[in-house]
Amino acid sequence: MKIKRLRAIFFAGMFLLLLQSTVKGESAKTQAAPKYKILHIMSYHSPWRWTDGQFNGFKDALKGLNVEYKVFQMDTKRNSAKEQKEKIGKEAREVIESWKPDLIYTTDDDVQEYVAKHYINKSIPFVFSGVNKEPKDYGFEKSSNITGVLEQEHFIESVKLLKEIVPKAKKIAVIFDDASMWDPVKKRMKEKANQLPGIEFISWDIIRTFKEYKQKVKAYEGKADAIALIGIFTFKDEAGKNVPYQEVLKWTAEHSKLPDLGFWIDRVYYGTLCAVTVSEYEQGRAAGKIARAILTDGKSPAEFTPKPTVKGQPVVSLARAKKLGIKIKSGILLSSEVIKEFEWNKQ
Amino acid sequence: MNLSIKAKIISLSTAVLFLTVGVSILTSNYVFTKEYTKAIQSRLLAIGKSLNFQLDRLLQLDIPIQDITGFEEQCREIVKKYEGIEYAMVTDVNGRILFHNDPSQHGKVSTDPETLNAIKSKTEVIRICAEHSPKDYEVVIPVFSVSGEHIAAVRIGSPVSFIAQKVKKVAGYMIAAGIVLLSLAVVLLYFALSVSVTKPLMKLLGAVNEIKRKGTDFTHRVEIKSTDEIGQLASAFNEMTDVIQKTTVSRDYVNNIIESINDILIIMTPDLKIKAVNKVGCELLGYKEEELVGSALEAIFPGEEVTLRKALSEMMNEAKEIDNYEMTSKSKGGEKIPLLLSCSVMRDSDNNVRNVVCTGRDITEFKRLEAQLRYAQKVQALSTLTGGVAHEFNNILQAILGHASLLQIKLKKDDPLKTHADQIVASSERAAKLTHGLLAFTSSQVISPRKTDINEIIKKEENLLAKILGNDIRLRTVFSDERLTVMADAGQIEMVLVNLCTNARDAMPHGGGLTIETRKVSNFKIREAGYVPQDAEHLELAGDFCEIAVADTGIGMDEKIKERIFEPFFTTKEVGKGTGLGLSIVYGIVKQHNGYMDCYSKTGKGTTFKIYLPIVKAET
Repeated sequence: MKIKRLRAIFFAGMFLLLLQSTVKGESAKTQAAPKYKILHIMSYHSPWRWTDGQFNGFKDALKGLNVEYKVFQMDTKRNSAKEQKEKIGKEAREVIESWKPDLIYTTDDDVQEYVAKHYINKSIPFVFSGVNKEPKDYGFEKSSNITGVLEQEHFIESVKLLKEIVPKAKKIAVIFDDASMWDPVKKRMKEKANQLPGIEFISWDIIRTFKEYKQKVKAYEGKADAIALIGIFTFKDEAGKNVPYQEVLKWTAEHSKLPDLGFWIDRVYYGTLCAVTVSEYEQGRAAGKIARAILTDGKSPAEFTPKPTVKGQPVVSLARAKKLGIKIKSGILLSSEVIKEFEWNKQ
Repeated sequence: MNLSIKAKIISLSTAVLFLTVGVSILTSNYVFTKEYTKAIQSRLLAIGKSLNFQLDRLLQLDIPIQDITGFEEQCREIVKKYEGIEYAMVTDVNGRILFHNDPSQHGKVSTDPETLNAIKSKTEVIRICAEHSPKDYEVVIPVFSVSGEHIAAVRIGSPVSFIAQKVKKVAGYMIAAGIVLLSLAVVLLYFALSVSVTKPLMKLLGAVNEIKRKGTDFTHRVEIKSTDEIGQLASAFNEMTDVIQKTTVSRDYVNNIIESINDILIIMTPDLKIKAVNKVGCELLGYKEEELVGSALEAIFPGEEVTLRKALSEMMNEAKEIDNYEMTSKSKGGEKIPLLLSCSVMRDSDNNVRNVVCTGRDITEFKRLEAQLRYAQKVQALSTLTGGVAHEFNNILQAILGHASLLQIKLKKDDPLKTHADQIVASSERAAKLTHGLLAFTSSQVISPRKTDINEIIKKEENLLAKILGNDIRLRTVFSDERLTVMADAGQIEMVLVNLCTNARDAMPHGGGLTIETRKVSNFKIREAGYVPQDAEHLELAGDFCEIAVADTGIGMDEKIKERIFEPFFTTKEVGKGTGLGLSIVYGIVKQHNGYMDCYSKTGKGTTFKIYLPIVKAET
């Protein structure tokens, strides 16, 4: 009996020692892991698939690190006037100065213009994603603290997807609004056009009004086999106001008899037949990997040359295909994100 | 069949391994076929489900199955992607093919009742489909619409022969691997056996052979460090040889003892037949051992066998030993050899006679020395007697000669007594000469020795000697290259040479050759040649000797004559032709010069006299 009691006491002692050492180990581990403060400034707003997807990809790339996030939304889609953008940009800079983050993650172009540009060659690191313009347009090419991921459209892939869905499509008309942001896009498209043998781009039209747009779309019938809808944000109505692009797309879906393509998924939600979209998640994840290397490996942002992401996500609108009387091959449907309904029908 | 242990083990192991590999391959094939069939069926089901899943995804997009386009591509991808899939298709519930990896099959309708049953079944079916030849393993998976209606079936088929091909392929690999492993195992086994079995065994065998070759030499040991059975065997072998070495008298050892005996050793059976003779005995008797073994003792002791048999019988019966019996044996060449024989009896534990062992010592030399001694004693006695008589007689002669000379002087020439007086003087002078000869034999003459070179004396006398020998005898002289200085009276040496040449001439009545040869010999050489002087002590003290050999090619002499040649007045010549003092005088002169001489002669073979005079240091 005595021996049994002694044995029980011994094992209990050992258990307590083990428990103590485990607890100590855990606390030591917690203490050892550094805490990073990351400020995420988005040009647009949340919730939105595009902005949220990027942020989710960014966070996934930093999984396992002890990070405190703060998000600042510039919401420039709604505050699109220059004065508004400057004002909100200043507010964002004030947050930076007061909160003193370890790294700033910026998405899309407006934040680069109104915030990041003010911190070129400063000590605080900036990592961006979803940027359409060239880095040199913001003066980032000589910056030691700003790098990131460029958002470049999957032009070739998108046209090929359209060609798969509509094999007879050979002539394509391209539409832009008058926003300067499309200049680099147009340039890249023209540079790559020769990689699409058998495809003729019959026009590269810049349209300023919604009326003009409607006329052009109707006029393309018989001349073009398909339309590439690129810039559709600043078509003015009769009152001189911007017609929301959703409305532009809805009209197109309801009235155009030509299949069309875009580069962004939200276009497909609103009726564009197909797009190989830039993956917002991939953009965010690529930016997150750079941020992780800067924070944990002590690398300098200057070591990372800004590059576009390479993968694209095919998206097709089955609703639009039905409207156009097109049967999409099962192989395309199985490998793409399929939008069954128009966005406006969901509400 | 004469196979080594290694070959036996390897053969047996190879057979066992071959059997094991064979059984393993057969078992593996059986198990593989069974399991692979299961795996193929599961795989077919998984592939079918994936195709079904894709179809379902399209249906979920609210596309009616009849509106789905290009699904043949998915069927084709399945067939292309997965090995062993023969077909992938989607049929409606009536068996009409909607999509098929082979577009030409589109629209065809299955009529096979079993197939139709499987298609109509709303559950997954795995079966062997006999609709086509060859047979296929087929899975049929029902397809339901979004509303749950059974609208189609996915069918995936894989030929039954595909498994057989796989089994065959695997069996091929296994056989190849088996052969490689088997070969490897045999090679490894070969080396392992070589190192751990064959080599140690060969070592052991080598040790055994070594002992066998050397007879009873048990000093050889085996060095095997392993602790296995072979190591234990080696240890036991070493221990055994240790014990044998300690407890056994080796044949070599006995042989060495027997061969080291300088005497004859004869071993006889109880019926006195020769059983063994040692090497010394064989050499002395001139026989090979096998010529003597089995012979009766008469073969060695002819003429004395009766005496010997009697003595040996008595010895065996009365347990007495024969000790130092003087017997004469006869060699194979007929030469008589005096032996001093000692015999004893070897008995077993029951006192029965096992062998008779005789040792015989050759006493030929002893007998020769004995004869020589007797001869020397005889000559010495003669010399003493002759010397005494000659001396006294010479004194008397001197008185007679003196008075006769006075008488001769007193008498007138014409006195009739003068003739008598002259006769007395002449006779006295002859008598005096005779006594001088006798005195020379007894070495009692007054000599004047001085250091002189023997070669010079001979060279000076060469002409005189040639004249004595006459024209029919050729004189040949051979001188040593070095000076042979001795203490000698040159006149006396000349007399020796003259006497020897005179004798030689008389021994060569029909002519011949006489050689006088000188050389320097050592005391050892004299002894080696068998010449042992009567006072050996004196000879021991002397250093080198001058040998003068006078050899003729004359008639020679027999042993009896040879024994008496130095006796005074002994002659073989006709009466009046010799005094019988010539060789006596030579002997006396040589002895007076502290020298020795001997005679070597055989009837018809010529005679050689050898004179040995001690060499002294020459004056410089």
